[in-house]
Amino acid sequence: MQQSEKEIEEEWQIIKRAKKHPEAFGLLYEKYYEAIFLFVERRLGNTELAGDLTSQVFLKAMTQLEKYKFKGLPFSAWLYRVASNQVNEHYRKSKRRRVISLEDSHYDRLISDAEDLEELRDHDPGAMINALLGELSEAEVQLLELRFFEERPFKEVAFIMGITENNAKVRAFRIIDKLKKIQKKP
Amino acid sequence: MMSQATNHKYQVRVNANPPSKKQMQEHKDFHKLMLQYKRTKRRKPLHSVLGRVNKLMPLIIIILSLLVILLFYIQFAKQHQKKELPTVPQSQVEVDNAYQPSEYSPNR
Repeated sequence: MQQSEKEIEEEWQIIKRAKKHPEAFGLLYEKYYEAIFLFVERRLGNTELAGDLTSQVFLKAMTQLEKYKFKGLPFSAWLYRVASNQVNEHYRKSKRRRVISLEDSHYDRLISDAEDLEELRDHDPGAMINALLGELSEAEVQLLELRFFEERPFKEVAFIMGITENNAKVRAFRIIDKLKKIQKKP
Repeated sequence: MMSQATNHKYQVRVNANPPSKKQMQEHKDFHKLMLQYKRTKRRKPLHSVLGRVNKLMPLIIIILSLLVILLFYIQFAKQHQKKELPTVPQSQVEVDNAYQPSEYSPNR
């Protein structure tokens, strides 16, 4: 969901109010609850656990709202960052295998972003992504999800991951490059 | 159609059904969140208190070090004074301090 500058500015006014009066955070909670829930659920593959973790994400967001600084990005970018950290912490503690949720449309987008990969459309997306995941670092997997599966703009991807926009673009290019190499393998 | 592929690190879900609105609503509760927030805000966790002390730690160490140095210096200066005083001959001190009119005094 792309937001206009006016919407982002209006949201910033709500945040400023919520910093003084926590009840005002309810507006942001209503607006983003489902988006964050789905974001977390796609990474956990478990609805119950996603519910608990989403609550933790919003609690953390509320307690750390004082530290929030406006950088011209939608508030959702900051929430995704908090959610992403929360999911990472969950996997660090539980030592379970990470869940990656993928739709056929995500796979198509990844292929259309790369040149010369049209023939990969006939391959099984699960198997291809699985082969690609074997070649990627954890940070690259996170970028793959945010950029190609969640369709976040590079500016937001960079903010969520705590890297520069250029760095995010370079890493995305490397991911596509790795997919090309997998395709060339016999 | 949903399918799954696994490797040693990841479990890939393809075309999995997202949770329904009803399932999401079951967990949505802003009132509960507010209560948790108030409880969290009320008690200051130990690590945050330690964190604040930690920020001031260099200053505390410098002030304590300066105090210790100052105390040692005062102690040292006192002892040094005590040792020096008895070595000065009393009579000499008196003579040295006594007023002696100059040979070239204009009153002479």
